[in-house]
Amino acid sequence: MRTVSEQVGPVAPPRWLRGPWRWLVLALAAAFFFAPVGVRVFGVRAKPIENRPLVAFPPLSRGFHIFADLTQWSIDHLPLRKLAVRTNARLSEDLFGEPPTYNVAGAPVGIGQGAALAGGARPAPGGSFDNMVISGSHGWLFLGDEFVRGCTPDFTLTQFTAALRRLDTIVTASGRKLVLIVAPDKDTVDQRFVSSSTPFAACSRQAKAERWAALGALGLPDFVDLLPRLQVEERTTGQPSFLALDSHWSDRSSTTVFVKSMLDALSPSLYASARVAPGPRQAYTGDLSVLNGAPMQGSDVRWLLTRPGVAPGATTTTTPFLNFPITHYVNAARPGVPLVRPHTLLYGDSFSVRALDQIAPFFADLTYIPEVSRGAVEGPQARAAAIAALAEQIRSADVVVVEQAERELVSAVGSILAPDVLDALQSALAKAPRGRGLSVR
Amino acid sequence: MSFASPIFLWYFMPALLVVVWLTPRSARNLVVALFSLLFYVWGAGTFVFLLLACIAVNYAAGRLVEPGRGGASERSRKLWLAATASFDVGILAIWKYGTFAQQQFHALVHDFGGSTGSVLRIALPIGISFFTFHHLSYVIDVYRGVRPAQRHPVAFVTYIAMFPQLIAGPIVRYHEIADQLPERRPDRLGDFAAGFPRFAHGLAKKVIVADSIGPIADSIFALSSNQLTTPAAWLGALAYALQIYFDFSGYSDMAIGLGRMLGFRLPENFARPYSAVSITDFWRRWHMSLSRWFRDYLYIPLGGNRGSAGRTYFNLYLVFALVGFWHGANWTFLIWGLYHGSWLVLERVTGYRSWADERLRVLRRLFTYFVVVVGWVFFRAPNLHAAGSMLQAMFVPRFGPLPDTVTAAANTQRTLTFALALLVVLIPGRFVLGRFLEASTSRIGSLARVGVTAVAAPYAAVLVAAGTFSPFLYFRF
Repeated sequence: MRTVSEQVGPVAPPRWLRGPWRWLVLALAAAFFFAPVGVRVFGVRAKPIENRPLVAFPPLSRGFHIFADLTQWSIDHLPLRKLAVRTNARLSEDLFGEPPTYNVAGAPVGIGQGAALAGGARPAPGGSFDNMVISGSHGWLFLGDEFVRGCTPDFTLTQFTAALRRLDTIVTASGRKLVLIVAPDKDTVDQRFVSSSTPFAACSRQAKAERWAALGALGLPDFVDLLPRLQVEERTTGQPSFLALDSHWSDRSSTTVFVKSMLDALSPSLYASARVAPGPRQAYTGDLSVLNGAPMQGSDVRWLLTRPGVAPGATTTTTPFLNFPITHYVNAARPGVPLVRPHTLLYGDSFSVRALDQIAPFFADLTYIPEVSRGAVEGPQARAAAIAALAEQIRSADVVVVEQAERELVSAVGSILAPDVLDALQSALAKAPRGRGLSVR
Repeated sequence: MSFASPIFLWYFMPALLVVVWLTPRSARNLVVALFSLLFYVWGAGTFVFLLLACIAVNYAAGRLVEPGRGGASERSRKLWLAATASFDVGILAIWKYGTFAQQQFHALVHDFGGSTGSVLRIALPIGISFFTFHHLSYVIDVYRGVRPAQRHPVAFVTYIAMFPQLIAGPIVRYHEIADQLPERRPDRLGDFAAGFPRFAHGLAKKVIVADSIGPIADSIFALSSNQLTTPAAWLGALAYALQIYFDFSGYSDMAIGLGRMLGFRLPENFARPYSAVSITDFWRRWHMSLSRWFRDYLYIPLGGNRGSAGRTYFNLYLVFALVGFWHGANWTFLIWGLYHGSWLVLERVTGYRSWADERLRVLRRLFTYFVVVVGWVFFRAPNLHAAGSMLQAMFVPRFGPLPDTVTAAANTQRTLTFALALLVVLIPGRFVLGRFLEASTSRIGSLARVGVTAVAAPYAAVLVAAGTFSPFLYFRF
């Protein structure tokens, strides 16, 4: 019968740890524990590597909460962290040919602490990618969420179409015009770069096809169906609509498809009044590569859109809205140069933001408000504030342009179709009907 | 605060090491005690007051239960021991099992058509299972006269709150460490050098292996019963078996290494458990410090195996029911404990436990591993229904493609890590990589030890630091 010794370890350091081995191990240990502190002493400071500023040192008045705050502060201000993130991404891609995953190592698993610790974090219902970015073919990157949400949306098809009808009814019944634009996901448009073995891809493709078909069949009067237009553009130019390293489409697609389609829905004369031409090729850093922890640059032709005869007026950034501003544009135009005159609200995501400089000169009075999912990130109170701000802005508008990415539109958290958002809009608009209609002069 | 976190590795540890080395040897316990309380308050917040209250009670109780204390009678010592043990167990019962007990009561009332108010949720203080067992070990050892009561409050706080073992063990019986507390270690650099490789290997086991395999197990245990197939269920059970071993033994390695760096020798907690040839053997190798605690303070006082066969079986069942329940307030843990208790009894009844280790070694090892893996299903499943679904999928053949959630979780890196980890635990029992790295005195052994440390520590550090990366998609705003 085997017996296991109950002796604790030896008193003296082991024999092998004499002479040079000891110094080698000590050097390794010192480098391991003291490298970040050491480089900090020599002036190396952490820089923001995520899309937010570094967390400030918490005040002592936080009481016991200071420890949680200090943990985030210590992570943000850890020198060499950027190097670690880049190294991890490089190792993952070079050794395993796949984007890195970002699991936060943490508490021990299931050891006397009860079920709360057993197994650690669990996947969200419907599943998720730990790595936010998925590699496609030819070096293309995709957002993992596009596949997961495509496959397992928060809304059923019936709920989705019912909510779209409800949004349309709420806005149009109040006397306002609603232009609805859905920015198709990258994998919806450029499926040929999606690897066939990508999890959720097959399921996502089928679900998305059904959703787009349902969207078209709804017959909403001012729904701008971008998907066929992008597909036509791809066939015409022979170029993909989206950028290989980015979650957004190219500047060409943004200008000649997105901006044009939005304006056409308001008045066909608008886009025709602009001068549009390809400009120089410019480098860009792909947002998906940044999410990957290994920023990469690509290049894209910049498209120039100018409006002769339009004098930019005041551009004011009003209330900081959950770190993202609500921006108000006022423009004037020479006689004969058309502008959308009624107060217009553009509710949109990063696709709109990227095109704002091109969109704004077509409006006499335009307000841009970021989507409510910003609030969801900050917590329930911020979400409520975001929804209230959106309702208030729509209440004051005559024309409402809603642009939202496909993946976000089917998310219960981020979508304008979420029941709490629609309830708030219904309540706000019912009290403030409009009847002026759209005028483009 | 986890050992595998930036705040611990690159703020807490450097600060601790600098203070330890800048202060006299005699101040070691004070430094360790203060840093341990800081470590605890970081993760547990105001629960530090509960810990301090327990420390105060048990410190005082140690003096009251000590033999030969100013003519105190045996009866009075026994009463004080009973009162202190009741206090310690009561603390554990309230904070760890209070919510669970209420839930069961409410469910029972509901079943009989009654109604109750809402369940009062009681937060679980980190490490309560461990510090309670340390306190019990202390008062019992002192009562038995195995070691005298600790006179120095600082040394007592050091024993109870010592951060290497505070939140995940090993469970250190007082008599194992009592003699080390007053030591003034002459070779602090030697201790540090001796502990670091062990710590680095543990960190690598946790961060590189366990955290890679975990998402595979998580994705499968999250499947609904109609999504589970036989291959997926076995993959999930095997993945969890590997995850919990590399995670827990990695944590123990880190604890032992950290203790060593500070001049303490903590007891071993694992001895290649998946090499076991029986469940009896498994429990000599898995979470050894817990087995020893239950053996010394419960199984033997109950009579152990000195009574009738029936009494021995009862003792085993009772001990393993409590072992299971100690792991968490859920029926799944109780079933897991009873499952192991049943195998232990069966091995006694059949005489299987007395077979020579070499007899049918490979087959017995595989069978033991099979039994243990099946047991982990109860341990990991969120409830008995989920465990039942998983076991049904494992044993009633059902085939189909792996769900997307599983293929998404089982990327190349994780699948490779899973395969290598499985290979490591299934290689012949005589070749123990950890033992070779820990104890080989040859030049090759030293080279391997330092080489593994030099590769594993930086890679683990990269994963820990990179694991904190959490950008927000809309960075262009």
